[in-house]
Amino acid sequence: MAVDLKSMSDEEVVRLFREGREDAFDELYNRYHEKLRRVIYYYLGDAEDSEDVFHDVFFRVFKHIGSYRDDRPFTSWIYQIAVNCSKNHRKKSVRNDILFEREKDEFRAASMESVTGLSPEDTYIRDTELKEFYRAVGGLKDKFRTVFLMRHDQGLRYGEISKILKCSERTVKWRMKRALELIADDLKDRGII
Amino acid sequence: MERRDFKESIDVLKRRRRYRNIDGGKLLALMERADFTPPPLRYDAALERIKRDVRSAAGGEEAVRAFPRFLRPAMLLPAAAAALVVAMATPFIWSRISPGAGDAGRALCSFTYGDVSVARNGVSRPAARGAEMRPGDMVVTGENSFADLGFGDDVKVRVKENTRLSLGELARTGGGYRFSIDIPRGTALFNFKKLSSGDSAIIGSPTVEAVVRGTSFGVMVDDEGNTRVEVRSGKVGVRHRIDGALRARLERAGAALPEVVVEANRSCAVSRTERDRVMASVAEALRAGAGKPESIAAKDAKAPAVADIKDDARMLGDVAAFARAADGSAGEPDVVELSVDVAPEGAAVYLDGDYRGRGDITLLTGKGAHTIVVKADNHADRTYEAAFTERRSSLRIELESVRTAPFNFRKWASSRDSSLVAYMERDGILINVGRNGLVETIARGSLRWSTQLGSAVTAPLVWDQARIYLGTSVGVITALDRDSGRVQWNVPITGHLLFGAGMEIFDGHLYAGTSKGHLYKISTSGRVEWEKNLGSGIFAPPFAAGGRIIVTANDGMLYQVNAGDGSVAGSARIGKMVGSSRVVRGDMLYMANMDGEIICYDYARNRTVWRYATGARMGQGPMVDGEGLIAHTVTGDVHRVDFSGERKWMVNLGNRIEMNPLVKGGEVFIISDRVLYVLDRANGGVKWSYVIDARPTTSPVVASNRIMFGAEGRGLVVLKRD
Repeated sequence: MAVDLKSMSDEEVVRLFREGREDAFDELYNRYHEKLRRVIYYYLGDAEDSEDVFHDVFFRVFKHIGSYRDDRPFTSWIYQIAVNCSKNHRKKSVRNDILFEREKDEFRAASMESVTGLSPEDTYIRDTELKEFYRAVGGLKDKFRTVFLMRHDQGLRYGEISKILKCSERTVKWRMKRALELIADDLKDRGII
Repeated sequence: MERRDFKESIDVLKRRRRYRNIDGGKLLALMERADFTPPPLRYDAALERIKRDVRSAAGGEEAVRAFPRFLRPAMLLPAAAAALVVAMATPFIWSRISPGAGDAGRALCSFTYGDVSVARNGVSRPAARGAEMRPGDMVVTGENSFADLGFGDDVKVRVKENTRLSLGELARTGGGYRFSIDIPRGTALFNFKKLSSGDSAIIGSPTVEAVVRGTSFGVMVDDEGNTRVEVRSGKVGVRHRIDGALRARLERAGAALPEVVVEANRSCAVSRTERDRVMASVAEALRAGAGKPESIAAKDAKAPAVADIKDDARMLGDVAAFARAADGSAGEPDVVELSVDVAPEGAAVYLDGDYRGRGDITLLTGKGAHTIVVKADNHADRTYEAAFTERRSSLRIELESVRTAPFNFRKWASSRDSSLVAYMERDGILINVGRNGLVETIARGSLRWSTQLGSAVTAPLVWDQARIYLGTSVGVITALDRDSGRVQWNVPITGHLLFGAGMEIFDGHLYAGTSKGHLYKISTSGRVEWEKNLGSGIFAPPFAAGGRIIVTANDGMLYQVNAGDGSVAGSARIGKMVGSSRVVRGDMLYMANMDGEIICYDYARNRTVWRYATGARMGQGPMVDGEGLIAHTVTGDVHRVDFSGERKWMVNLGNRIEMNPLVKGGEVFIISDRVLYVLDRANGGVKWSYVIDARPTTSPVVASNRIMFGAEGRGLVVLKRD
């Protein structure tokens, strides 16, 4: 019997996937690929590294789908894998080649800037100011930047973020507030806002 | 996160005394404007790669036929875990793509970062990972850029920033290999496996020849040719370099310049002056008839001096890090042989954007991800992206005849993800550029061609009779053949064409100004005639007048540059101009400045003729409408002004205007927020409007009796006029 995967919840699709339906995996992939790639990019700030980790994340989803307990949201589970893989990748990169990491860091702000070229021109926010904003966000500690971008870019709720990052909702709110303060401090010091 | 949420967060922030005086509006605008989207990824190909790797990890062909069985963790775990262990154990830099191997007569580019190009036969192209390098190739790296090259398992080279490195001999014979590299300028790090008795490796600079005996060392050459060699491990023999007739005479005399051996943790520096002095001495010795080899060696051509490296190491740290990374890749399979069978016969095969030949073909390249594109007339192009890890792989790519698949314009349009749309009115050709860099042209109701670029397009398109020119998000200007869509050339540029900065075609050349202030003159065949750094970002298209190229820069200056040689002929301070569009008419330049004024500037006499205040900030410059100018503000005002600066009419559309409007015939097509308005050019009255149920992504174009624009999630919206 034909089943409309699109109308199913994540957990139902996972069940079909475990039963051997390849198209169920495709459906999960379609639902999450863009979101996860963004989360990974938040951590790494490098498109090529992100692609490697993105691949690793879905590889692990395959590998560990048997360990997923469907009494908890699938969203949190898959996001956690993305966050863990990104953290591991960063640690590994730094450990293996500090030199390379340093060279790459210099490009992080520039690459963030370059992908925004498609947006319509807005001269009120001039190129340099936007670049400073990206730099300020990029300069945040991981824990602040991740929360800020999950909320800012993906519109995730505090409750969802807390499950992904395995911390309390209160902590997430505090990190968001602190991230905004740090960004404001930075931009204020540079006379931008 | 919605705008309201941003605003609430900022309001909370502003309640604190410390932040009371910040410009909350500016912070809000920055948050709204910021876009953290990663560069595009071909998700379908990525999904295939994931599945393939899972299958591969679980045991090959048998498993491929039974995909779902992988879902049993017990079966998957050992193989997948093993794959992950291997992946994690591989040093980072070499695991990104091939370990940097090559084959006889070839080296492979295993990694590039930033501005890296390869010049071959006088044509410079961006260097991609996996690209083959041949003898005679010149690798050029720009600022903050580098490239890694590999020659088999034997030699790894890192070409550091601002370096030119020329590949000489790359040959493998029965008795060993012969390897030579020349470094006219810059820095390169080397890691050699221990050389055998038949192996020969020489690194040349303008002043020295370094004879490699192994294993890891660095060579640094400054603009004068002064050269420094630092050895981390093994030994390198260094001698002065003598070329040309003098070298021939020396060899005829049976003499060779003495060589000094530089051992681990020692360095050797040779200045241009010292080398010239040696040359003069040798010439004098030969002329005086003191041609005995021993006497030349002893008296006239002392070997370079060697010193211990104490606190003056300039490359040793980098050499050590590079050697660690390179050593980690030893022993891995490094070259992939891809047998590609194609149908129809004679289809053209491209590997990573480079044309490789027609018909069935065997490709040799580095291990890792590659893109193979197959093209043939009257067939739809096919792109195959995959990570190749096996030593030998084969694949068959069959193209579908386009005649068997009638093109459905409506279906095509609804599935587009447009970032730019343009219409070549004279030929009736519509060009659509997707956010992922897919460029497509439509004419007479059918798809003429489509070409997938490796990156997004950031600048408005320009075209001539032969080509379409695009500025991409990776800092490259690309020319596509207008008839076939094939990439004709790529020219790397310093900076990007951003915020409306476009290109101008004038007198058979392309002119472009970049966000880093570099102005380029490029022939339409892809040769950079000159490049001028003006020192400040350029966000408006240049224009040509009276043999000069005129451009405004972000430092508030208007520069006039001689089209012939790129020299600055004059400059004047006119204030900061908004980027994007500008109107040129006779000697008058009409632009918008950052204070919300349209200014009419006489660039021949360097004076402002008139100013027109719109009363609000402007996002783009004015557009010409035949008898006057149309301009708009971020607050939704639309002004029509004649060429003498007198207002004809003004209307307010109520919402922000972000896209350039289109003026055509007696109408102005303009998108404000989510509404397309068609205004009467004569009086500004709204003739009709259309509510768009998604965020628009492009400016409108009018093609024949259709109006088109991109909208998020809705594809290319096509409105047919009654």
